[in-house]
Amino acid sequence: MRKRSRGPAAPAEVPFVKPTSTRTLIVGLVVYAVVFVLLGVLVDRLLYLGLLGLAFARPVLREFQTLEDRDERQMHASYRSSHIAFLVAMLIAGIVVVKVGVLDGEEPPQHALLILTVAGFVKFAMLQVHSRARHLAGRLVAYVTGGAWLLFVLASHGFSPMSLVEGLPFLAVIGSAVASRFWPKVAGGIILLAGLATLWFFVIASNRGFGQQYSVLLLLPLPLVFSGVLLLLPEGGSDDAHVEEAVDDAA
Amino acid sequence: MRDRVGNQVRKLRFLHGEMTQEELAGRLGVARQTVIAIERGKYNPSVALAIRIARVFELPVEEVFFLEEAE
Repeated sequence: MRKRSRGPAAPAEVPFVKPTSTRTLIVGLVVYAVVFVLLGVLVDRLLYLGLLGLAFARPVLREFQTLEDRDERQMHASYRSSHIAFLVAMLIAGIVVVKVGVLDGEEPPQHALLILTVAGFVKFAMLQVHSRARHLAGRLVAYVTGGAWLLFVLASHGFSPMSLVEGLPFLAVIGSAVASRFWPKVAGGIILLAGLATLWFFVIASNRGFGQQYSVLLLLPLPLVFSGVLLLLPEGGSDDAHVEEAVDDAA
Repeated sequence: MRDRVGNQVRKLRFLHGEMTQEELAGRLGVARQTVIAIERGKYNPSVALAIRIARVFELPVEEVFFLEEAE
């Protein structure tokens, strides 16, 4: 637990490494881009891959707080600009998918579909991981995924022995979701394994085309893996947990 | 109605031997642009940074930052 300090006290210590100034950040970015573009054109275009890797290296390190070269306002501005960029990218990808896939009635472009679904999924996933009700979210994702696939099986085969066989794994997922109220880690482990099994069976070992594999990935393994991970993570705690801690501290 | 957070940072810098923005930024471990943004009310610091700013001026936080109620 961190030491608590109250009121005006000793002179403030420098809390972390001096952040890079805004001017240095901008100049650094411009120099970095120009050098790599020139190298890419003059030497080898494979260097663009290096450019891509380097472009993501610093933000990723910052996200894990390994690199602390920005202060809180700079980080806030960075998050805000990323959020706007996310909305713009989603809007453009959405327009392309709706225009081509719905209005023109053709196969939507894979790149637009990838941007739309991956970015959307990551946003939803990160929101749930940071929420205080991870287990509830994990349970709901399992209910919806298992329930939707069970309905799909029933719609395909009706009430028949075949439905029972094909629907059994999804019944197991729903059963695990119910059990997750009492044993979240066990249920999460089962759902995660189910997700990995479907990932192997329907995506990795499958010979379907990109479109079909990608759709299956989004609709079955990914939600199950995500649900399993959420249930395996510790729950955020009750809303009053911090109050109880404060009372304990005061006592 | 949105409350705006006002502050006395600029005045307090002046009262503390005309401390420069650069010096304050150095003592806080933030960029000078951040001090400028705070002084101009363009950026509301986190509670931690507000406390650190108040400590530099040896004042309680509420004497450095205050709510300006919007009409």
